[in-house]
Amino acid sequence: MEEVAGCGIDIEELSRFRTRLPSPEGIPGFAELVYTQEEITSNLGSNSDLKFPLCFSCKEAFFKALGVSWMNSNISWKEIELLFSDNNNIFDYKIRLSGYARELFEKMKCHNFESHLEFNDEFVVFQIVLLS
Amino acid sequence: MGKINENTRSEVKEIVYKFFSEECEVDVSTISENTNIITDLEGDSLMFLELIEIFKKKYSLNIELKTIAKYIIRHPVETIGQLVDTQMLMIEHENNLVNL
Repeated sequence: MEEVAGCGIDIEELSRFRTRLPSPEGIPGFAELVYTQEEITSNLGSNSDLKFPLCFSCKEAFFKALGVSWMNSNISWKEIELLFSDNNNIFDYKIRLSGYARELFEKMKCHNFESHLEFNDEFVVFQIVLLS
Repeated sequence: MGKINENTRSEVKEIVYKFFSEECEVDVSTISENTNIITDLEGDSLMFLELIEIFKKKYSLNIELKTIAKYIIRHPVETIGQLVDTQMLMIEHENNLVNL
């Protein structure tokens, strides 16, 4: 039987990302700190004003589910990736862990996780549940 | 290294105070060295990252986020005063910050 090993939820206000979004014209320095090149490439295009905040929210939610933050662990923002598969379907995505994020996930004896996202005109919400 | 001069600390302080005043929509006069970033200002990761980026650009710093994180693990930043001190060290030492 699966057990819940950790749970994280994050909410972000969309307006705070308006000046922080990558675009074909350029990538703000903040975005370079947080998103991988693959995230930037896959999330540019339609709905990028939703995808990038969701991406950030997913990373925050995962940090919380792992019980750490970027400031008190070796885990980098770029070791938790949210990649949207389809430009027109926000709900078609995959989450990929690497490096120390993957290491901690396995150390917690997790074998899977569930994720859920929601959004409206003002906010995005992401939830991660780790399963062991 | 060596970008510090006698005006740097007051410059850094002004940037930090102004940043949190605008982000948190509080009067700058209500912010002091002892102000707790999380409990008093509801500071979050987005603000910290944006501030790091501001300083990286302004002082052309060669410093990685991981370096900053490794330093902060050993020297937690809770107050505005501690944040200013850490920013000063970032400017002075850049990626060597992790060796302090």
